[in-house]
Amino acid sequence: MKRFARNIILFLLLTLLFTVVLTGLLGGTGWLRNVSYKLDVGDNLYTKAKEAKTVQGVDVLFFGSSHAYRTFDPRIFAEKGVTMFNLGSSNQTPMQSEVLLRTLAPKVNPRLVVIEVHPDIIGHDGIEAALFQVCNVSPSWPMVWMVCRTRNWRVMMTALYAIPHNMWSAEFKNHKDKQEGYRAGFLEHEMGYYSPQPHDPAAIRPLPQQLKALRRCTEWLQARGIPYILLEVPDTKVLLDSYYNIDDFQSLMYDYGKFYFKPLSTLDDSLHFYNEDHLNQQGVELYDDYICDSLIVPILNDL
Amino acid sequence: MLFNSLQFALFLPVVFCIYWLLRRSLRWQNLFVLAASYLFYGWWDWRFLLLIAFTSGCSYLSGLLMTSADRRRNRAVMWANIVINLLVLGVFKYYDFFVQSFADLFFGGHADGLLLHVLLPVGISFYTFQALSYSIDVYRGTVTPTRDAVAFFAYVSFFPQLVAGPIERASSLLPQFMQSRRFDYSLAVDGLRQMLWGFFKKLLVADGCAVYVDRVFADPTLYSGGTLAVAAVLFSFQIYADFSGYSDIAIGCAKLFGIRLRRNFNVPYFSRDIAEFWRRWHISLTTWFRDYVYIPLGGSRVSKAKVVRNTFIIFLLSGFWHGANWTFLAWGFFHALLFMPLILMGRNRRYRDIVAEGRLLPNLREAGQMLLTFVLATIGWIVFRSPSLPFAFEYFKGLFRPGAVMQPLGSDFAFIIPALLIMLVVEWLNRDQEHEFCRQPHGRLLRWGAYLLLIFIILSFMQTSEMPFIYFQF
Repeated sequence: MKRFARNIILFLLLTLLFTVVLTGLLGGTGWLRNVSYKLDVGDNLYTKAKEAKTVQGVDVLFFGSSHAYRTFDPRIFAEKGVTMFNLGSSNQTPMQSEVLLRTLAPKVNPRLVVIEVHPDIIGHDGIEAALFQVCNVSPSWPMVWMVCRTRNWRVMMTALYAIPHNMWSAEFKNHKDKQEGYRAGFLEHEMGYYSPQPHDPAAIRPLPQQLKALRRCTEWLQARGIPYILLEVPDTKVLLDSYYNIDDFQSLMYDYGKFYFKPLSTLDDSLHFYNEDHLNQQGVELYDDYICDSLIVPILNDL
Repeated sequence: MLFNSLQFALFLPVVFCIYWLLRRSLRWQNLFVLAASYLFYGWWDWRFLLLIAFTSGCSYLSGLLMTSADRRRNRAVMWANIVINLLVLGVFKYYDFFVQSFADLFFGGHADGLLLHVLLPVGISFYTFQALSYSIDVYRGTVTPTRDAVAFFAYVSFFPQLVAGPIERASSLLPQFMQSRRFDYSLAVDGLRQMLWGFFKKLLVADGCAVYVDRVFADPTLYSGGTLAVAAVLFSFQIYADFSGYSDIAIGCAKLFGIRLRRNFNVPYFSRDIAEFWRRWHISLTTWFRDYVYIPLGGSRVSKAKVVRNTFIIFLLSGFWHGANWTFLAWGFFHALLFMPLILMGRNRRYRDIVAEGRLLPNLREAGQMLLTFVLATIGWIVFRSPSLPFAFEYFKGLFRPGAVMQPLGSDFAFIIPALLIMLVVEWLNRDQEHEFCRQPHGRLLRWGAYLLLIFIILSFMQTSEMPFIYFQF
């Protein structure tokens, strides 16, 4: 039995070593199915995370998914005298927001944090966004915890390659991925219009791990005395009407802090959206103007 | 709890350590196995535990009641136990099917008020058959009834083989729970090796094929005949790798606890005819039907007409055992038909040896025979995999649809084909061994190097979502 235990421990250590070494050697080749290391994904997440370290003292810092980085345009906020930075990224769930919040918010030092919450995203497992994040954001302990919490082997193996690689490689340090239309984390989408499609009724199913992560985010902000709000951005009416438990979702969000959902009655599904859940630039201009005047500026004035 | 889950990765080492710490007391060790097995099973749904406890309790009591020399009474007790267990199985697995089929036939399919829609307990067919075999063997006098309830309940619920077999016999497994077990280093190491091979088959081959197969079978009308043919072939490998992978993990896991389970697969795709295939596929179920149905019906020592009847009976039963669906019955019927020429010509026992024994490669004739058997089995698997008979007919029609072979979105040949090749080569080289990952390189360095490489391949290429084993639904 002792011999068995000794050999098992030795073998497990060797397995760990062998896996780490081979993943390090082969992870960048693209041969390993479960290592999906890609820079330039997550819509400028790399640039945002890098830029955020140099931005100091903005009025508002945004977190959230594409609904955040496609909606909050710094040019419109600047017209109202509000400085902002957008740390939203593709499919970013509260699990990933937590990492960015813990590592980057202290550097940005915002007066107000806005966490964009979306009924679909809160039901995502966060795997895709976790992969974006481990590849494009500098390694940190909150990232390691986030990787463990996903309980997904592909995320873990990608992290096994990406974390040491991003710590030491010049490729990561010197990478550039800015796209046209990028400004302080906001990414302007090519102008387009949505043709409304009928929608089957759907339920919003927030995942427990996302709610826990959201709770950790709000507790972290409260512990540091950083004012924050939760904000749901507009979706098309066809999409909103298809959620039969939207009221439950919104009342749930009130449990996590000051939650706002301020739809603008002038927004039209065909004219102001480029797909069912993203505003086009005309919609962005209307909505940002409205949300600045009716919500952000009054809150900032009260601080 | 799935073998391919994080929970099991934590559960197994903890159970292993406590189990061997309790080695001085057989009773405590068995009690612990029972508790661990019930925890393992209850992980799905604690209500399932009531059912397995009831099934075990009935069979245990039947054994106790058969201790008298009164043969008629023993016979009645045995039949009572069979009826009770089959009733439970029938209610949970077949009731809705029969009611719906009856309603389809006579009432235009309206049976809503009569259907139970009960949740099918995982592995119910496996442990019911295991419990039944005890009762029948006690009646036959081949097994001595046990008074040790803990050992008996542990025998029915032993977690490695609880949900998908191998279906053990009391004569082989129960005595292992009645005597103290000693840790055997070689057995434990061999068990780990077998588990590793089972994980390779499940996580790489079966789950890899599943992505392709599931997409094609979701809507076969979207694909060309070539794509449907590839999906059918991949399903043949998927179901083999999935089920035999499970069996390897189960048998290997049991070896860690000093317990030997029977072999369930013996390289069935290297069979030269369908009779040989059935001697190598799901051996524990095939032999169960042989011993408890086929032989009592007269087996092959009766007239040709009765042999034909008996063969159809066991294949139809075997098909129906898999589930309450006409497709399983059709699958059993198809295999019975394939068996007929061999039965009628008395050639069903022709191949009892190992193909190409003593040679590295098969000759052309053997290769052709194996290919033909594989193709026939694959035709059967199309019916088996289809949700309904009309669907299966459409699938067969679709096989003649022109067009190139496509790769459905999300699937990837680049990972499936090498994994399949590794599996086939390793199993071919080990076809005469106790299990398919038996033969090892000499020297620890080479051996460990091979294991490490295999683990790395699994970790690097496996599907990352937990896919349940196909046979759990039976």
